[in-house]
Amino acid sequence: MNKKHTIISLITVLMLIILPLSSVYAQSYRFKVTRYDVQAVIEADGTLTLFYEMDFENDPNGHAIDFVDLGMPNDNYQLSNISATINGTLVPEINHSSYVKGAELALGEYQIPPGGTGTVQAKIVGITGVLFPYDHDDRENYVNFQFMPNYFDSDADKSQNTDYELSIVLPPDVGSNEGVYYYPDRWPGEKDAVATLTVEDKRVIYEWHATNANTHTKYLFGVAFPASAVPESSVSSSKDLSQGQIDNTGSNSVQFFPKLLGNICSSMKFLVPLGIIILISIFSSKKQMQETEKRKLQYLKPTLSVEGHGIKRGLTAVEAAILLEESLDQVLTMILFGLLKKEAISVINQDPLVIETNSPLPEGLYDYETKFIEALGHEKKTSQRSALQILIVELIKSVEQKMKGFNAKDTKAYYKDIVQRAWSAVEGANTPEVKSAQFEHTLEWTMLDEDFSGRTTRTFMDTPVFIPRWWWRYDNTYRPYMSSPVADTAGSGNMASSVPGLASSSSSTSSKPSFSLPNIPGATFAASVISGGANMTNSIIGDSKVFTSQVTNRTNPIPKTSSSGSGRYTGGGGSSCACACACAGCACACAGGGR
Amino acid sequence: MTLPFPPKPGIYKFDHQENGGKSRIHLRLEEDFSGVLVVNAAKMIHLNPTAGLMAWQFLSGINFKDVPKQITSLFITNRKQATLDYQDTVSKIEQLISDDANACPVCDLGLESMVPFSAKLSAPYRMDLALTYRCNNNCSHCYNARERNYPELDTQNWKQIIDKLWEIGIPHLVFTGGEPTMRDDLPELVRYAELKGFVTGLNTNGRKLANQDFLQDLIDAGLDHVQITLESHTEKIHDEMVLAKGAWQETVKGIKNVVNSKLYFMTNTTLLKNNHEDLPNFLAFTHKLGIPTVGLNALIYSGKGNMVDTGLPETELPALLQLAIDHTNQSGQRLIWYTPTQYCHFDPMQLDLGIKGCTAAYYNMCIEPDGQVIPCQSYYEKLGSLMEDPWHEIWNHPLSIKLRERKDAPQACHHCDYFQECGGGCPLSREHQSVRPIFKDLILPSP
Repeated sequence: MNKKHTIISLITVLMLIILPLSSVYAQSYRFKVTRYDVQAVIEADGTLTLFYEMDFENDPNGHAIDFVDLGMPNDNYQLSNISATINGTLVPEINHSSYVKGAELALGEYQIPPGGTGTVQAKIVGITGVLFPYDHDDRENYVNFQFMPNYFDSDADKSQNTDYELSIVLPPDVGSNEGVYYYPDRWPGEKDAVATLTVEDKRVIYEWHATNANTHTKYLFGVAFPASAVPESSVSSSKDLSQGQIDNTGSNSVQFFPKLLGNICSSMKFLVPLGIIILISIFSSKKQMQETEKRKLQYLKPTLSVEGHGIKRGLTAVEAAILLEESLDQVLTMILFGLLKKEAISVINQDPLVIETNSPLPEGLYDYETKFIEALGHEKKTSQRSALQILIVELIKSVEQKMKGFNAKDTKAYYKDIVQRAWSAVEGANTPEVKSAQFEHTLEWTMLDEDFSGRTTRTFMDTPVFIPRWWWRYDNTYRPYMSSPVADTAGSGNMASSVPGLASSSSSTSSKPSFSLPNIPGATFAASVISGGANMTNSIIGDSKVFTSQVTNRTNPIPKTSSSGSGRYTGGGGSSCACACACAGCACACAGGGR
Repeated sequence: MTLPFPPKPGIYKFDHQENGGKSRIHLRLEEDFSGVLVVNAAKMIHLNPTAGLMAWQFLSGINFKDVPKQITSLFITNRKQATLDYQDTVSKIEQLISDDANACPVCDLGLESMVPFSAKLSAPYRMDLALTYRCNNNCSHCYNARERNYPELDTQNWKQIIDKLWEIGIPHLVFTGGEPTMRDDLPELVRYAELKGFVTGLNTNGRKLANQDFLQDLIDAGLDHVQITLESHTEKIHDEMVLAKGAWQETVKGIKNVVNSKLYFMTNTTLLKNNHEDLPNFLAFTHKLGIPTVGLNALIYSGKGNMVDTGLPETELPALLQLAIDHTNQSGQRLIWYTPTQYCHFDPMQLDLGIKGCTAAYYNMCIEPDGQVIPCQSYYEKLGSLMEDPWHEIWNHPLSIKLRERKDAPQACHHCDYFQECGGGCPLSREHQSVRPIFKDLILPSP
């Protein structure tokens, strides 16, 4: 065991923090800390990393817990090295505190209301100047680390049975028998630490745990370890301390800082010698603060918000493309491929695009698909272009209408996630055939990926894309032989019959009849879809920037064209409203119903 | 008059008059000045602390020159910034409470959009007061799970309840039951609540409103809105469903009386096996009566509703609702669908019926005739006595939290894309679902 009963005089004090301990706190703060986990990690470079997790239970009649100040022992820390959350959400602001020497976590809208509970987590890395020489003769070349976790003014803190855990992790190079710890002072739990090793890097860790502790008593913990474990430069000299030497009682029992504490008590007004103090602002230290004066609140820009309808689900991939402000030629390409997949049209000529409409048309075409067919039915290219513009304008307005009351930002994120899910479904397929079938099924969604070409190439790097059954309608060089239909063993009915002269692979197994499927490399397929499709649509709409401009002039509000000239536009929910009162107003809902 | 500053937490009421119209404005302020602005008990605007204080200043008529001084006395900012932000905030509030407010709060006024059911509240927006469980109907599908002779508070106790609810910060009361018109003191309680500042409503079977004088008493007391339950356009079916002969005649007469009043009015109808087949004729009947707003809901699986076996599966609802939408669109009536469903079976959003999730112990709660608080008027689990237990214990009762945070939803629902809006449907009906939730996140939408 590493347990060491200290017989050591504590002749060093890590740091002195001058605190004007008037400890006047805002009158109405009143709370409990039900769980309190603190971990102090002494890193290999001698810096200190601190982790805090505190469960607050605010009193119903107490002031909201709105700020958490992290008191620091010195100025050797950086705000950028502090991260904190409140109930898992990043704390909105971290600033230098005006009230304690340290940083201030402004909980803002996440403050813990009266009667509420909340968990504050904080991590501070890179605190320097926390180690001091072990100035006693029973060990040579040791360094001390002492630590007093934050405590709260007992007038505000009503904790009684806090589940309190404190651990100190020694630097990596400290052997399992080299570290020592001091008996903690005032600690209500077992004074012997539980010494274990960290799982990952086998570092010595001392842990103290009590369920009858509180967070207003000033517990003091400490360890010592070989100085060789940290750079010499990380150890401050004794002369850095303004406090004189502290006598040891000589006892072999726990006499941790007895004299020191005596000093604290006697000089309570200005000196608190301890390693690190974390102060919660709810016992603000501003000396002259009046009992009745509350601390000024952090000023946040006034915000008014309504509960919207959240995410608009059920948009088609084409509508999602509008929402995501994909370029219009991309949108038209998606419509084109959608119709090809539904076997509603065949491409007779790619440049200029000429299509042949199948008769009868399949059922369930979307309005924009029908209008696409009608547009390309015009003989004159100008008429086609004009009709496509109308189609796009109506599509944008339709999406705007559908987005009314929904959260555009969250909805965009939702559809971007769908794109990723579509890719996952493709990439997770077990066999090349299934992979191709899945790819075909979700083609319009994967097309929304900015890296469609690259990802298609990578996904089908080792396996080709088995071309879909309808592909010949797009590229008639792949037209299947119709004279020898091949049984659809997969049952999907999606794959084409074999095409002579093309590389093929077999999906056969010994128990199944074999047949060949036409395929092309992924990169070729992607290029064919994106470039080929774009070329075809551009052959109709001409300059996509001009086309887009003519569309955006007719949408309302007038979207801006992108400066990149990529043919992108703004619309389709980019500014969609979330005007509806979600349900609150209709919350009369169940009232009276069901009788 | 100089108002105390800073404002104390609680509810403030303001009347806003414009173009001959009147809006009822409530501002609920929390200790940190964050709050909720409630317009006509229907539109809720959430305010951060800065906006909350500014809303109070504006609505209270604080002299403009004092505004920045007050703000900077509470917040760390300068007067110039405070003034600029105040003017911007006031501009938004003016439009939000305007009588002809058609501006979109988000895209026109720049309000932020919150995720549904994400607001952190300290109390519900609405409290239902079940004054009595007595009733002159005896509906076979009634959700009431208590005895009809359940103990009732007297008038003075109810007034104390109303006082307490105002202290808690709840702006909207609905008198319900049982049948609340069975209480002779109903007009007195309505008047008391109105004078206190509440928006008040009444959920009734409408039979007593056939008495014009009684209705006039309620109107004179200040009642704001009425909802009458009408189960069918045919006397026979209605009376069979409510198990009271002659009820339909009185209810329809009550409806006619209310339609001719200035009260905000709607009906409510439970779609059951008994009455759903004749929905088109029923809707035509409501139109003929001049009913402006028609409410529909599904069976509530509580009380007799647990045993009646006339409920429709959720999967049958979309077709019925589509039919109702078509009819009301044609007639120019407003349709309100009430029931929280599992969206995988029936997604009200797809029919533009709005988000319908369980709001028990969140947006609304209910007080039983004896003063006990329950999560909603159909969920008979006591959370505490309003007069005897601290509000925070009731609001933060484990069951309240469980319902509010939808902790009891089927495990599968927690991973569903629709969970935030759907919440797993009505907790009371889950046990009666013949089909189980579908994992929407495993399904890619059709391109």
